[in-house]
Amino acid sequence: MAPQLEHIISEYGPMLSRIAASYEYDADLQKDLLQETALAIWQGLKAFEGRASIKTYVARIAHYQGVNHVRKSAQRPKTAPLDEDMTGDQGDRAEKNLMQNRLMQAVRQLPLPLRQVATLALEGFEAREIAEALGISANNAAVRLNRAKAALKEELHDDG
Amino acid sequence: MTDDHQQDQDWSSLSGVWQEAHAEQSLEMEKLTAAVNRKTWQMRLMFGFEILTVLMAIGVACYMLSQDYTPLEFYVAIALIPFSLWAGWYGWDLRRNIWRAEGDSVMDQVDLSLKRAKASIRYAKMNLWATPPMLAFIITMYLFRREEFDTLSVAAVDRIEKITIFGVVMILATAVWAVWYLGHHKKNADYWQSVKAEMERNSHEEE
Repeated sequence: MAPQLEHIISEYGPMLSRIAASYEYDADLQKDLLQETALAIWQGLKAFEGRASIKTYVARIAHYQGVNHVRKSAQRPKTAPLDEDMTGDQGDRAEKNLMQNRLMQAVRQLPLPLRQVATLALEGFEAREIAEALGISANNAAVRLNRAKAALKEELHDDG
Repeated sequence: MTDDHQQDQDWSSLSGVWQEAHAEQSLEMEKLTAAVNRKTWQMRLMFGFEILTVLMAIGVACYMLSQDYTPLEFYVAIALIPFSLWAGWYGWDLRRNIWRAEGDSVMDQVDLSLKRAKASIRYAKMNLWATPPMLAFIITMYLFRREEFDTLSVAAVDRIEKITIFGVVMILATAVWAVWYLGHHKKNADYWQSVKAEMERNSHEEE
C-alpha cells in the first residue's frame, strides 16, 4: 500500500469510520464500507491534483461511498438498539458513549442532504469546505447547516 | 451570553462528542491495510486476466484465418479481432474514468453514476435490439450454406452446423444476460435519480 494512503488512513481513519457509521448502523457492514472507501481513496489518489485539501478529498470519497453502499445493500440507514458495550459501562465513559450513540442515531435520522452537511460540520469543516466537498454553493451549505443543527437539536431534545 | 454564542458552544460541545466516537477504530487500520492490499492484487489479477482474454481471442481469430475457413468462419474471425481490442480498451477506459472521478464532489459523482447507469441501459437495449438481426444473419448464412451441403464433406457440414448452433446459443445467452443487465441498471438509475433529485430539490429550495 502506498505510504501516502497509509498516512491518510491513520490520520483520517476515525473520521472515515464516523462517516461510514452515519450511513450504516451494522458494525460489520461499517467495516466493509470502510474498506470500500479506503480502496476508493487509493484509486483516487492517482488522480489527486491537490485542488482541495486532502481532508476534503477523502470526505468526498467517504460520502459518495456511503451513498453507493446504501444502493448496494438496498437499505436505508436504520436505527439500531443501543449497543450493549455502550450501555453496560459505568460512570463517565458510559455517559459519553450514550451521548455519542444518541448523536449518531440523530444524525442517521436526518435526510441525506442534511446528514452529509451535519457529519462534515461535526468533523470541523467550514461551510466553504462543505460546499466544496458536496458540490453545492457556500450559501446552500450554510442554509443546510442551519437546518441540520436545528433538526439535530430537536432530535436530541426529543430523545432526552 | 447571546443566543448565538450559546448555540456555538452547544455545537462545539456536540462536535467534541462526535469526534471522540470511533477514535479507537483507527487501531484496526492494519487489518484495513491488508484488505486494501488484497483488493489491489485482485484488481491486478483481473486486469491481467482481461489482457490474457483479449490476446487469446486474437490468437483464436488468427488461428481460424490460418486454416481452411468457411465464409462464416472468416467473418467471425475478422469481427473477433476489433471486437476483442474494443472490449479490452472499453474495460480499461471504464476503470480509468472511475478512478479519475473518485475525488470529484459528491454531487458530481452522483451525477456521473446516473450517467453510467443510463449508458449501461442503452448498452443493454442495443444488445437486445441486435439480437433479432444477428439471429436472422446467422440462420440465413446457415440456410445459404445448406444448399451446398451435397458438395461438402461430412466433416465440413458437421463443422458448419456446430458453429451455427454455437452462434445461436451465444446470441440467445447474450440476450438473456442483457435482460438481466437492463433490469439491474434500471434499478441503479432509479436510485441515483432519486438521490440526485433529493440533493437538487434541497439546493433549489435554499438558493
